[in-house]
Amino acid sequence: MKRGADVLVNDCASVRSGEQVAVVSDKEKRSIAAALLSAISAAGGIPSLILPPARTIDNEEPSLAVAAALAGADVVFLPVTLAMAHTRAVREAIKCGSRVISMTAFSHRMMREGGLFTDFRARQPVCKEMADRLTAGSHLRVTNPAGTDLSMSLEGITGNSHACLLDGPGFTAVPNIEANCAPAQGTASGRLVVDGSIPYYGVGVIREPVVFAMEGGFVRAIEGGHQARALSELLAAQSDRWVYNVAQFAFGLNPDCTEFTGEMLNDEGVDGTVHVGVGTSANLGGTVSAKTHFDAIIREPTVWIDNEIVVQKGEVLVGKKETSS
Amino acid sequence: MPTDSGGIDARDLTRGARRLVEVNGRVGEGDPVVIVTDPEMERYATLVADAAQARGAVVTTCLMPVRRQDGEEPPEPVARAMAEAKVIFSPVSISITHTRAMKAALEVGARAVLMTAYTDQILTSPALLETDFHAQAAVCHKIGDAFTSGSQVRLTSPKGTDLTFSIEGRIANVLTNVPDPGQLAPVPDIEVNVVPVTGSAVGRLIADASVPYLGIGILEEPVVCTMEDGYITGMEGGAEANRLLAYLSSFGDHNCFNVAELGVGLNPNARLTGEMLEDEGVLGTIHIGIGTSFTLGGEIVAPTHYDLLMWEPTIEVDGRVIQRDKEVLG
Repeated sequence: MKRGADVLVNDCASVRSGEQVAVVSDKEKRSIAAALLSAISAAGGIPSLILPPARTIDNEEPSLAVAAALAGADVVFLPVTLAMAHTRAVREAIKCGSRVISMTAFSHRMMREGGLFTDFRARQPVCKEMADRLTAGSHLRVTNPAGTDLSMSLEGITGNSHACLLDGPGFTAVPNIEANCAPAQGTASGRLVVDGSIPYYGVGVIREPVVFAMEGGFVRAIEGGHQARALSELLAAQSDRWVYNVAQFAFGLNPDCTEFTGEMLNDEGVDGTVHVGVGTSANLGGTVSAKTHFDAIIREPTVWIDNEIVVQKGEVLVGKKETSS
Repeated sequence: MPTDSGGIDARDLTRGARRLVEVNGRVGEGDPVVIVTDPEMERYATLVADAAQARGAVVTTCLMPVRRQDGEEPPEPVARAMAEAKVIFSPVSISITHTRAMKAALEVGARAVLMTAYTDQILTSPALLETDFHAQAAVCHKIGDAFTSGSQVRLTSPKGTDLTFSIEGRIANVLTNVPDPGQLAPVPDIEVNVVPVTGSAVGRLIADASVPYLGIGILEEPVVCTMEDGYITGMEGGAEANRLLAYLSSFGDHNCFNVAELGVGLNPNARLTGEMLEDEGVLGTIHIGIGTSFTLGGEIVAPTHYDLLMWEPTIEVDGRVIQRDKEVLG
């Protein structure tokens, strides 16, 4: 895992000598945290390991002590079992100048092979270009062969480029190179037929499509098989209407994330896929803080921004020499 | 791992951790607890975390590399976490007691249970498991009040100690082991200490109990110290005295010999073991600290602070006996 830890510390976070580096982890992810701590020390960083109180769901707020620790760090790594990326604690840390690297549900495999070892620098321009398209565009439509047909407004929103490289304060998850945005609040409408992965809450790679009916920016119904039912029940149990908020639209752009494996940050990065995030949007430029946030990934999407096709049946056209329209 | 746990039952360790949490830390439901630890002491952090979680506390554990020296600051993220705690536990191999981070956390209302260089023996000791810490707190305050309001101390012992110094204007440090917000407690070292007025100590100390540092431990031969104008001017005895003297002399700093502290052990169940945290609390011993006094409220900063323990003290303040051997008169 040393090679993976070196990439994360030196390439993704650019840890410099004398920087305060906090690793937030838990029992399950402790061996990955240990690899990071060694790499941080080797880079001359000052490591500390923070083990937060038990949390029950992805993106639940951590304790105040954890939030304070994050705000006191120059760099934060989050190899945790339950996601902490979409929390106020992370938002505040970034405001205080932290560079935050999300590594939710990281596996040993991901430390050794796959997306982490792609050429992030080479892919960064495409990611930026996609984010710029989101910023410049006013309307987005996505379809896929499974039956997705979803539209949303991009008016007044700003796209984010998360290319797994942080030179200054900010956030990126690794290795899912992604360009994303929070769509204009209350505008997402249509059908999202998820046939890829929902790498949260134990759902994983999709066996029977999960169909989300969306209207006015909210998920109104979730249908399908076992996986759909499990997800639906879990969300209902949160007693929070905002967990149904359509929070995010994102392009996966890592050419070395090639298969859905059920590993969250691998699946979200699979090149040429898109995912829709539901729940908290505040960490992406939106306004909603919900009890949780999850992402649902679809295969072979075709995406129009205004009248231009930017992804066609799973092929990223932006950044190629010719762009279809 | 710090010590082998020959003969010590895991259940006893759990009992010790529960006592630290419930009696000394008085951790309650929903209390934010921060445990600061390092790789050598993490097993104690885990025991304390489990005990605190069982009480319903919200426990955050911070692990940092072993500090290079006593008083080195913890990393900034750890310091920030400490400031959010109601109760701090610090099972660390090198002390963070005297750091800005600890001071800042106490100032905003944390209380701290210090667990520097903990061992299985301490965690299962009668000093921890059987002591009535609340009852001893009252005894602590008697001695503390006598020191804070007094001006002249005379210390004697049957072996021949006869030492005097001024404590005019000094405020006693009262380490009850049941800390209030803003206080720290090196459990199970129940202790009251005071810093002699710098330059005032004169006489002779015959340390016959222990020097719980430098691998010396329980003394085989007394260490005899001559003191003039607040400094040790002579140190004699056997191999142990020679070793201590050679080490202190190696710093080439006069202040290593400053008479920095009179500490009074007040834990009736503590036994002399050669380990600092238990030895300094033994009822019926006092210790004279030498070197730095700054961290206790004095003026002297030296590269070292060591303690010499002595049995059967008689302590007089302004001519009145406040303690004779194990009997506290106050």
